[in-house]
Amino acid sequence: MPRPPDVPALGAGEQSCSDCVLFSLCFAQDIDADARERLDGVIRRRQGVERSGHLHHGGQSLRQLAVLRSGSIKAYQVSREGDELVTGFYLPGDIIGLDALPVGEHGGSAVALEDCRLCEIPVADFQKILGESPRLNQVMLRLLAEEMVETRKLLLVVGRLDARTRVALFLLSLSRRLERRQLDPDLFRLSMDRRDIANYLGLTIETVSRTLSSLQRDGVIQVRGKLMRIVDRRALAELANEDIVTTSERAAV
Amino acid sequence: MSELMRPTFDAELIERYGGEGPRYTSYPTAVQFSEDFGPAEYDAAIAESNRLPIPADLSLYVHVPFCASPCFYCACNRVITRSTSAGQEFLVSLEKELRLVAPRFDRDRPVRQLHLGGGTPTFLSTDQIRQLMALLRTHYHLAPDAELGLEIDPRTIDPAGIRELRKIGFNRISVGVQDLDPDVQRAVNRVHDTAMVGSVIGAARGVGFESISVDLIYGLPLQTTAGFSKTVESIISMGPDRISLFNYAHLPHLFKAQRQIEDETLPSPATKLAIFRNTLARLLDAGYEFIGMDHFARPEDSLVRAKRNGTMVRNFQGYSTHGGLDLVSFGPSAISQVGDSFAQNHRKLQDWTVSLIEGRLPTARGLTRTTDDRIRADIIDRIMCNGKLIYRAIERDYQLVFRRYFTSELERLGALACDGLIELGQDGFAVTPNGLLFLRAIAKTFDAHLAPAGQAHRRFSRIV
Repeated sequence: MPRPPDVPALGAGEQSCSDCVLFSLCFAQDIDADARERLDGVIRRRQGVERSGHLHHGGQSLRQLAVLRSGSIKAYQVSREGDELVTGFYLPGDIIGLDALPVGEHGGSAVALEDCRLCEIPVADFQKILGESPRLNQVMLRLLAEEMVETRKLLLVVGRLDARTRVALFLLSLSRRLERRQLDPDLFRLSMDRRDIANYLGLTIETVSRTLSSLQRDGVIQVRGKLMRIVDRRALAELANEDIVTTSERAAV
Repeated sequence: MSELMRPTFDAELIERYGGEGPRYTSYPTAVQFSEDFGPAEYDAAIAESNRLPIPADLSLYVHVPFCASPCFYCACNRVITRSTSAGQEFLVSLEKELRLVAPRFDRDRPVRQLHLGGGTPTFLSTDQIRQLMALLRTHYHLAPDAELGLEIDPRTIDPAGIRELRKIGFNRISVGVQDLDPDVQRAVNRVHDTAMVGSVIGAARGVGFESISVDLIYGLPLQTTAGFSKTVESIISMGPDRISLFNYAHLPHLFKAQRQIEDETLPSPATKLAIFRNTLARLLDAGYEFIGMDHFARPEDSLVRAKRNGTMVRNFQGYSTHGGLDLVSFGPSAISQVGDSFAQNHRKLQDWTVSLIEGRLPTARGLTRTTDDRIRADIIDRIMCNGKLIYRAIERDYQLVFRRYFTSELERLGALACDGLIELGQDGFAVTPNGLLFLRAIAKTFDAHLAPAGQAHRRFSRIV
């Protein structure tokens, strides 16, 4: 079972991004040495946010970009009626705040689903480096494109597809993102509670659990507490009307 | 249909391994519960359990704390009364508790099991039991195929009452017989004749109870091998699906009622052992399978099937066919288990009642398991239920290296292997027929909370 990384001990003596245990998961790996050196000078490492703590609220101005090192974060907006609408989840390696760059303020709120660690980069510094490093621009474009692909797949879901397909797409999306960060794609903790999943997928909580139960009965997944094991990836992909993500596809990313 | 493994009786091993030990209806055991765990912690545990991707289905337990007269062997939490209003007052409080507790559970979590224990559930009139069930059905969704069971005192019910219970929805009963010998019955203040037991069991069979269970106790005052053999024969002829053969734990310093039993009337250790040996042999001979600990069941019983399929679990009611349920318990002293938390209600009827009048959850103590507790609980459950442990299963589920995590435990297992209780291999171990009577002693190896031998007062019953 992937235990959450041992947060406090992690990277205690770390001086630069290349020392970081999570270097391979982070966009910092892909940028040129020059830009990384400049990043090293401005980055605030290992900032903690406790479970249920907010990173930001909707409407607040964007002060820094954050890279999630450990834990998970829920992004949501609040409807005019005051209802929470879950818009997505951040996993380790994800960058938080990119979508707010053009306007300079956050469009929605972000709350920690468990104790989290983040690296923060002041937005002014980031933009300066961005202006000078074509490589960093490319990396950012790639990340945004990846997120767009995931978002588009999930957009297909809401309002159009049945519960089984929605849930299958959701699990596959999580799994694929973990795989991209070289984490175990077949065994992971669902840190979001079933209300969040239901809200995100536009289903009732009962339907989410009933669907997961039926997938479990069919031997597609195995759920123990918060732990999710994907047993039959092919069946899940078929349900989601997707082809299996092949290793060659992964290598091309 | 393959038979389950049969235990071997070995007096020398009993001498060495039959000492006291926890019954592991939970791990950690209730002895570890702390008052730091209260209503807020129980509430948080319930909220957490609702958030899981697939919240567990539920098992309900209601502790009916009354008895009309004291049985002298009893170690249960109960109130002796003949007051006819006690039952009705209890139902009023129970409804308050249901109103407080039930809404905290999401509505889509069906009840798979219900058990009424005590005390004496049949202290309540059939009418009151009907009211009680109606209350439960108001507050919870009972699955159509739920196991609904209760404990029966044959002195408090007749065949007509049994038929009523079936109509109310119960589909399993457990009859507290203990011993049919009139001398023993008088010595423990629980007198009922064999015909009463026979007619209750016959009526239950006739109206289609799915499982009929009988409790027997050995080690009671004035018991003899001949007398108990007669009891066992009578019970076998009544053909219950399950038989529990409990070992009487004489702990008068802990349980007041037991002070009524004079030490001189207790059977000698040799007699007790002979009774156990004879009963064990006779039950196996009569076709009962050995489930574990003190439990026997007919080959076609669901418990035998569950054991064979590896789905049997251990919980506060002993062995059970259903795993993975959250247990929600009501009544004084009742223990709930929700996720990794145990919550016990106030022991005293009055404290429980007052707490409900004041609108507070009656949680008095409990604990939340640590990761280490959870790993050990899993291992102990596998030993108690499956009689074997494969290290790789634990390594995979908890991301640990078994040989490193359990170095000292493995050393102690070596001693058990030398005595032939287990067969110790590279990848795990399996309990042998020689070890089958000593599951608790084997499981104890993994108990990190047990005080070193000789330090604690006697708290646990003898294993055999």
